Order: sequence, then structure tokens, then C-alpha cells
Amino acid sequence: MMPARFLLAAAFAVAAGGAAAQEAARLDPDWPCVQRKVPTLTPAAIWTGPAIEEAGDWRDDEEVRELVNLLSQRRVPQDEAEATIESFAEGLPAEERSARLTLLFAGLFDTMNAERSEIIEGIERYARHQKALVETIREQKETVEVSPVGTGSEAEQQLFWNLRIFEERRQSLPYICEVPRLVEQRLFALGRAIGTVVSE
Amino acid sequence: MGVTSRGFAVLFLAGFAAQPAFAYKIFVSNEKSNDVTVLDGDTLEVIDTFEVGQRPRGITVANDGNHLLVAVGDDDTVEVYDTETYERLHTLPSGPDPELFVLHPSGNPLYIANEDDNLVTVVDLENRSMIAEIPVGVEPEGMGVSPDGSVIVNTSETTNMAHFIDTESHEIVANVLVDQRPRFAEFKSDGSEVWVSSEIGGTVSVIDPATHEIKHKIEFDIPGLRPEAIQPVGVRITEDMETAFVALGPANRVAVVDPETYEVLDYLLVGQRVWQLGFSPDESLLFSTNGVSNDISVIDVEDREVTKSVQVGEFPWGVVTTPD
Repeated sequence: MMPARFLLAAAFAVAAGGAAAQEAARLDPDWPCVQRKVPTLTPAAIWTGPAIEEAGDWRDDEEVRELVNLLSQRRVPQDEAEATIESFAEGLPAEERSARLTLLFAGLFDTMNAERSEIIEGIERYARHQKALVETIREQKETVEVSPVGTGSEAEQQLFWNLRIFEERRQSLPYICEVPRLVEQRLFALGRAIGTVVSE
Repeated sequence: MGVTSRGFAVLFLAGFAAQPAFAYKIFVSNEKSNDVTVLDGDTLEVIDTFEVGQRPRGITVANDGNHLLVAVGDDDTVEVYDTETYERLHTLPSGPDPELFVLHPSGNPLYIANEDDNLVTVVDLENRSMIAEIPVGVEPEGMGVSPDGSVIVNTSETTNMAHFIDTESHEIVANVLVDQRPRFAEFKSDGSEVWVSSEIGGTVSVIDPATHEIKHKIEFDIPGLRPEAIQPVGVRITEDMETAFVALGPANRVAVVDPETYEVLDYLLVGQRVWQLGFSPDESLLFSTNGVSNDISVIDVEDREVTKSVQVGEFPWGVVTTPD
């Protein structure tokens, strides 16, 4: 069992954060990641094809809707996703090709951008919980007598568990912070693949 | 029979003679995976990956293409590798946190920007010794050298200056204030201009090295993108000064610029967070490192088109090729 004293010191040190986290916190106090917070993506950073605003509603096209549902899932390997895009493009009549591929990108952009924004909101909630937990730990620390071997009262046990939860959440933070980037990476790769077949 | 054999031999040798003796190689430093990806210049496919020190960024080729120099910032050194065997030969005394460097046109010495120590370190490659340490502005990064080797230009990210340094005296001879967070300095091949990119300022300052005055500022505008998403970093100008390219970071594009009129001719969509650029030896191709999509893009210089992207390691940063 890790001594409560050690975990407590670590928790407060982490709450203070490193230089990069402090800079991020200055910009947005609820944002715990080193990565800069970009709440939503812009189609222009990903796509140079026809304007998606003029493409119509992708939800009205059943085939496109099903493809968006499939391709936006990160468990579908990238190679497989790109092959699916190619085969969809090959099956399209020349006069529909550009419009329906643009519709496909519009659907992927809407879906994955929304998913990414939800993840970012989730990270902020997570950070707020961590902050609240630090406050609880601080209050508990003022009232709980920590015994040298860490086997004392129920209150001491509760403090220990709070510290442990805080620490475990802290350790997973770098992985959680990577998730928005993973969605962005996939959206960019899919957009590039669609862009290639649009211009062919 | 003898004639036929000789005929075959002649054809066989002629076939070989038609091929270049050695294809060039492309080396990409991967900042996060702490390795270097090697690609074949003919096939543009990955042929090898080898581990290097921590946080490799600046990368260049020295000693007639036999040595690959890699700045490994978190190990506070520059590593020297054999470009054939990828064996680490030795390290150079780089000073702390080396990020980017430039080689003197004669092949020696090496000028290194030390990001954490506000210094440019001058290192002799032959006897592996430090010749000088030149104090510059805060967070030095970009390094350019004039074609005649008489001047180096260092950019300091926080001081927002381009420092002109005499390579004989190792003294700063001029400081030019540029836009925020200057990242890269590139001379034209005739030495008439040096272009300095400003990542946050969103511009490229064209400086006359004779008068140390900014003669033009190149600005970028991409419909649909917020100005703060356009962050110029890497700059390359062809030897014939016909075309210039500027990497625009999270705009995911490389701008094509006319070096004479400074007009932006096109924006090419490459990969995510494009920072550095490097030409093939004959300058027919340009390679861009795309740090977030973990790939490099291949741009046809004449056609101004992206022809291919190739996955490399994590957070690709710098790119260089061996000579032909």
C-alpha cells in the first residue's frame, strides 16, 4: 500500500501542473491537456473539394448515410475504409460522382466533428471531477489523522481511496487527451482519400 | 556464339549504365517515436527505420552524403550516423537542447541553435570540437546560411528577431525585428534575399541581407480558415529561384510562392500540421513532414501537385536527402 502522505504530495504537485499544462490552463481553466484545445474543426483544413454547404443533406442519401456510419468508426481499419471509398466511387455514374462523394465527406465531417466535440466536453468534465476531488482530499487531509502505517480509521481509508482514484485518473489523462487527435487524424485521412477520388 | 555472348554482355552492361549507380535516400526524423525513417528516392517507399536518441528534430547530411546528423534535443547532443549502415558513429558537442542546425556551404562547421540556452553553437565536424558559442535571443530556432558562407541567420522565437551573424568573427552584425515566433530562415541561391517565416505572425519576411531591411512581407489567406490556423514554418526556394514553398502548419497546406513577385500562386493540401520541407537532389520533388498525420507528402515541383503521401514514424519533424 502506498503511503497516503506520498500520494497526497503527488496529487497536489500534479494539481499545480507542469509549464505546458499551466499555459493550457491559462487559456482555459477546465482544459487539462498539453495539446491545445480546438473545440471544433473547420472543413477547409481538411478538404479542397466542392463546398460541403452546397452539397445538400447527406442524411437523405441512404447509401451515403450507411457509409458514414461505417467509415466513422475507428475500429474499421484505415486501409479497409479507403478501399470502401474507392469502391463506392467506382460504382458511381460520372455525373453523380463529385456530388455524392462531397456528400460523403460532408457526412463524415458532421459526424466525426460532433464526436470529437463530445470527447472534448468529456475531457473537461473529467478535469472538473479531478479538481473537485483535490478539494475533497484537501478537506479530508485537514480532518483525518494519517497513521504511519496507513491502516487507521475509516476516514483515513476513504482518504487513501480518493488519493488512489485521483492518481489512476491522472495516469490515464495523457491517453484520454490523445483521443481528439485520433479522430482528427482519421477524418483527415478519409477526407484526403475522398478528395483523391473526386479529382480522378 | 561468342558474338552473341558479347552482344548480351554489352546489352547487360548498357542496361546497368542506364540506371543511376545509387538511388538517393530520404531521411525523416520522428520527434515522438525517437527514430529515423529511411525511404528510397526512386520508389518513395520506406526501406528502413532506425532508433536514435530522444526527441530527434533537426536533420542534415554531411561528409559528401556519408554522414547523417540528427539533433536529439532531450539528449543534449547531435548524433552522427553512417548513411549506409545506420550505425551511430559518434556524437558532437552541441550544447544543450539542440533543435535545428545548418551546415556551412563548404561542409564544415555546423551551426546549431540551442533552444533552451539562447545560444548558437559552432562545431567543427572534423575534430568534433566546439569552436564558439554565440549568445542570441530567447529560444533560438531557425538557422540559415548565405550561399557564400559569410553570414548565418538565426531566428529567436521569443525575441522575434532574425540575428545576422558574421561567420568569421562570430559576432552579431545586425538584428532584424520580424513578426511573432520566427521559425525558419532560407536564403535565395544568389544571396540577394533571406526569407524568415513567422509562425504566430502568419507571415514570411523577405529581408535584404545587405541593408538588413525587410523589403516585403508575404501574407497568406485561405478561404474558410481562420488566420490563426495559418502558421508558416518551413521555407524552401529552388536553386533556379523560380518557385518557393512555405509550409503552413495546422492549415495542412504548403503555399507555392513566386519568388520574384512574392505572389502566392497556390495552396497544396498535404498532411496535418506540416512544418518542414526538403527537396530531392534534382529539386524535381519536394517532401513535407506532416507531424499529426504521421506522414510525408511528395510534391511534384514543376506540376505543383501532391502526388503521394507515405506513412513514417510518430510526429515526423525534419527531412533531408542524400546527394545523387
